[in-house]
Amino acid sequence: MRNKNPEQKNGVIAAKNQSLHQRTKSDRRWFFFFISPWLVGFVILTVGPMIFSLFMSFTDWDMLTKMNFIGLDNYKNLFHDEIFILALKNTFKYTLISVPVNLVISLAMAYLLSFKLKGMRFFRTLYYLPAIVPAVASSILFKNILAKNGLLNKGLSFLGITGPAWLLNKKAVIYGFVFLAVWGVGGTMVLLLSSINSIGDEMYEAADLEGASRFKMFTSITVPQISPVIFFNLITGIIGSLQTFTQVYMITDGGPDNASQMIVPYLYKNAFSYYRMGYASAMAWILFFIVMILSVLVLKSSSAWVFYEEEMK
Amino acid sequence: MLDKHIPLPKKIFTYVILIFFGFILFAPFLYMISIALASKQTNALQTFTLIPREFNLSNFQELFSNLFSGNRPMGKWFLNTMFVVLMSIIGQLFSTSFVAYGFARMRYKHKNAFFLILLGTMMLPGQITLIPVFIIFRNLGLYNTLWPLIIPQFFGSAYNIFFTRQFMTAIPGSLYEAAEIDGLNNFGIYRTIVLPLIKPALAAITIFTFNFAWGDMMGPLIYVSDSNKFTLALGAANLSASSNPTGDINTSLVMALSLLLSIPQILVYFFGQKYMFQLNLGVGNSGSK
Repeated sequence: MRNKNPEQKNGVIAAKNQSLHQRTKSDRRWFFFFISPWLVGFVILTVGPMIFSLFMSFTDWDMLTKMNFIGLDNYKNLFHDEIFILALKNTFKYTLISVPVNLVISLAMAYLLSFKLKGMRFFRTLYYLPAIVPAVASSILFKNILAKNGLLNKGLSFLGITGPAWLLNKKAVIYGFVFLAVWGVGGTMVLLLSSINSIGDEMYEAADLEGASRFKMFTSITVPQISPVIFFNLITGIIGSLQTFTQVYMITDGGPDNASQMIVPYLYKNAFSYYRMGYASAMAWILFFIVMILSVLVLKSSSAWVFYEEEMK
Repeated sequence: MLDKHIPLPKKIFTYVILIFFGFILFAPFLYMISIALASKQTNALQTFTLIPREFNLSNFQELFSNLFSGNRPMGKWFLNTMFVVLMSIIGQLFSTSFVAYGFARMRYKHKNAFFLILLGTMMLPGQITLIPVFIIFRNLGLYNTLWPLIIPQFFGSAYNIFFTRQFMTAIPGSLYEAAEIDGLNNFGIYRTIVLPLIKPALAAITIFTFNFAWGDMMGPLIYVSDSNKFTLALGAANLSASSNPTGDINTSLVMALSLLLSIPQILVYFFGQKYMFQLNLGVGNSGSK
């Protein structure tokens, strides 16, 4: 009985299948129609160039003479290039200091600004202002602030400290850049602040009833609740400071004696001052792997300390 | 935060810390103003003070003296910058909203894979494509023009697409169904329903693109060599590199230009902050999902 009219039934299913098929086909067309600007850009400005860059990194191309395939020589030479090794060390040192310092200070500020006191809007604006100054302008400014008789040393002399000539001292220069990074702490601060403000009052009220101190509430409610945002800022902070360029280029040009040379300014110099395109491309790939490895490490570690609400359910 | 009963001493302590940090963060601005207003003599001796002691506008006058000729045609730099900024904003608004709509509403079985690739490009350090893209634009004959700064903006940016898509997925599905019954196709829905509803996201794209295009130095540095084609940021960088305490281009002149360079971004922030905070919140929340 069920297969009374198999031809007819199959016909209906076939028609349905066909319309479904056409539907998905049309859906697919619309999808590619809308994402086409990005997709075209992705192919011609990302994938294509990445392949070309990888290829170039195995050549000695200088844009003037013939391109010669030299295998892994660029990579080998990079690890014997003292300036590159120094640039790597400096970039790591700068990242290792500026990212945690920035996060801790911005967290402290965001916490203070989350108190519901009068005038918080004013302070929020004041703290955020340095983050919107263009890097060119803040670099020019800090070139003067970090000078021997600049503002920073004047401030330190009030505390009875004689500061070094930050930009001329090989040991101090990286810390000079950390000061500039800390000045822009507002960018991280606003993100943390908005997520602190979005935590509901219930948890604090419950903790309050149990007699928890404010510090205890901060460490066991606020920080875990906003840990995904802290994590987001940690990742973007690391990626951003590994790619520091404008500050170094404008303030010290890598000096004194390459003590503040970093990966991207050195890459820029090789590519656009010496036209060593192959060598600079190899450098870009090393930077790429460093960024990827660090991102993966932080991502892997995140499950241990980042608190996601879904896991509770 | 729970703030029903902050005792007075704690309140005062909080304000003291807030004012102390606020002062430290504001001092560099004051120093910038003080240097921009300093005289030639102060420049020669490099004895700048935190609190402005002089009120010397000659540095600003000098900047505005030769707007369209000479070594530092500020007027041209400004027009170049505005051209790049406006074209970049047009490019980003068009491409980002378009692509985001595709990711938000269209159905395709591999859509998520494409979206993951898009997110992946956010982590990609830009330097990896810097040199090949430079060679592409040079071979197209676009070296020493502003086009290499503008053209990439017409392909959307991953970050903008990401948050605009979030915004679009919040539009109730019934609106789309109603539009479909009215016989609108997907493009019609995008144009007449979606675009008007995502104005806050479009405002945020405008602000972010303005900030990037206005302040970008590395792009113009690589693509532009003729000082008539500089943007303001590159012009400021160039002046800074050739400045000398006793020379024609001194610290005060460079600082005056830095101040002028900063003011538009500060204004954009004040007028656009409600949109930016809305989206900051969006990013914050997306982190917790």
